[in-house]
Amino acid sequence: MLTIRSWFYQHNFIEIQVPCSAKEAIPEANIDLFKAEGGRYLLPSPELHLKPHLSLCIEAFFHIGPAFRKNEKGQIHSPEFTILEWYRAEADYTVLMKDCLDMLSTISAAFRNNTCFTSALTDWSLEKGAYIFTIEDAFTQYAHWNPVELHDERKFEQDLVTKIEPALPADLPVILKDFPSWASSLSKIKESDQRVCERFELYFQGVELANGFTELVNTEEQQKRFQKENIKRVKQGLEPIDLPKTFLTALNQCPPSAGIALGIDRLLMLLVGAKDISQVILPLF
Amino acid sequence: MYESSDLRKGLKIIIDGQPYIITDFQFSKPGKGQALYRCKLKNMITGYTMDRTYRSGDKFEPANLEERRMQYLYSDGEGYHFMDTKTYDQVTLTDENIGEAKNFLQDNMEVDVLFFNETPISINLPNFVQLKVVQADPGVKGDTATGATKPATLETGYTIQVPLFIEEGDILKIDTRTGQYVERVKS
Repeated sequence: MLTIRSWFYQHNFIEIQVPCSAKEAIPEANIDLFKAEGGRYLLPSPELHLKPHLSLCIEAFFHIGPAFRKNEKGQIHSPEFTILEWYRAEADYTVLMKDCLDMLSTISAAFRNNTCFTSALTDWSLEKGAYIFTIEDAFTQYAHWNPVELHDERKFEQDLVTKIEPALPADLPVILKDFPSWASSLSKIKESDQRVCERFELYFQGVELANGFTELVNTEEQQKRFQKENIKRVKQGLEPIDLPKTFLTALNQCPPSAGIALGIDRLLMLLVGAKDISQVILPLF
Repeated sequence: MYESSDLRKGLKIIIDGQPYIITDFQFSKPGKGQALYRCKLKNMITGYTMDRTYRSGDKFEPANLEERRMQYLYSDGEGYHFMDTKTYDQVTLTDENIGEAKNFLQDNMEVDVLFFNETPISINLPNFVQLKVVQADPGVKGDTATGATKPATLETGYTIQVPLFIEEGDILKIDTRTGQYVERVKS
C-alpha cells in the first residue's frame, strides 16, 4: 500500500478521504447495493463522493478504501473489496492508461524486491510493454462480430467473458479500449468516432483490474443515461435509485477530466499468483 | 425455487425435466455488465455434461433426489435388481444407470440407490470393495523392475492391473472411484 500511495504522492496527487456510505447513489443497471440504517447506501465505489471534487479546481487526486457490491461472489468477486480511484483534470483516458502501466511497473518492482512471491506480474516491467486493442478489433478477431456496429448487450457480455477474456495474451498487461457508445456508462463519447466512447479496461492474465474513462461532464446527458439505467434496473427486478442531484449539479462545473477505478484485491492476487480472491482476503471476513 | 445467486458447485437442479448437478461454477461480471453465472452441468441420469450461462432473475427448481440403502440381488436380461432391506421393495436399474459400477458389484453388496421423483437413476458404491481374483498369469521370474504390473481378472469379470505377486484366489481391495488396485487383503 505504501508503494501505491508513494506513486501517487510522487506524481503530485492529493489523497482524499471520503465516507463509504451516502444518502444518494449512482443508478447503475447491474450493481446491486447494500442499504445501511436510515436508508443510506453502502457505496459500490467512491465515485459519487470523489468526482464532484473535480469542480473544486483540484488537479489530481486519489482515494483508497472499501467498496460494497451485493450478490457479487466468485473467484475474482467479493461483496466487500478495496478500491483505488484516481482522477485527473484536463486529461483524457490515454493519460490514465499511461498511469496504469507506470504504476503497475513500480508496484511489481517493489514487490519483487521486498517479498518472496513471484508471479507473471512481478516478472513484468514497463520496458516489456503492453497490448492495446480496441473492442472492435478484439471482438472481430476472437468473437467474429462487431459490437460497435451491432447493439447486443447480452451477447457482448457473454462473449467478453467466454471468448475475449480467455483469448487475451497472458504475458503482458492488456488494455481493451473504445467501448461501444451504448456501453458508455459515465464516459465521454469519442469526438472522432461517435460509435464508441473513451472508456478502457486494464487486464492482466485475463483478470479485469481497472476500468477508466474520459469523464462525461454534461449534467443533462448524464441525467438521461441515469434514467435509462433505472429503466433497466426495474426490468431486472431491482429498485430504481433516486437521481443523485448533488453529483449531477457538480458535473457541469467540472473541467474536461478522466477517472479510473482499480481493484486492489485483484492486484494483490496477481502479485502473489493467487487463483481465488478469498486467498487474499482476511479469513474472518 | 433457487435464484441465480444460490447457484454453486454441487447444487442439484431440474432442467427440461431432468436432474442435473452443477459440477463446476464460475461467477463472472464483465465491467459494468450484468452478472453471469456460468455452470458446467451433469445430467444425473445419462451422465451427459453441458455448459450453461445464467443471469440474475433466472429461477431454478430444486431436483427432488433421495438416496436409499439397498442390497444388490442379481442381474439378468431386464437389468440390475436391488432390494430395500427394510421394506423388501425391489427396483431394477438399467445398464446405463449402473455404468462403470457394474465392474465392482457383488451379490448381496449394500449400495446407495439414488431416486429422482421415485425413479431409481444411479447407484453410489462404497469407496472400497474387496474382490477375488479368478484369473492371473504367474509373474515372470526375474522381472524385478519396481512398479511392474500384470493383468488380473476379478470375479465380476473386470480386468485390472496388479503387482506381479498377485495370484488366483487372492482377495484384493479396489478403489471404486478410480477402478484401481489398492492392496492385497488375503492370499
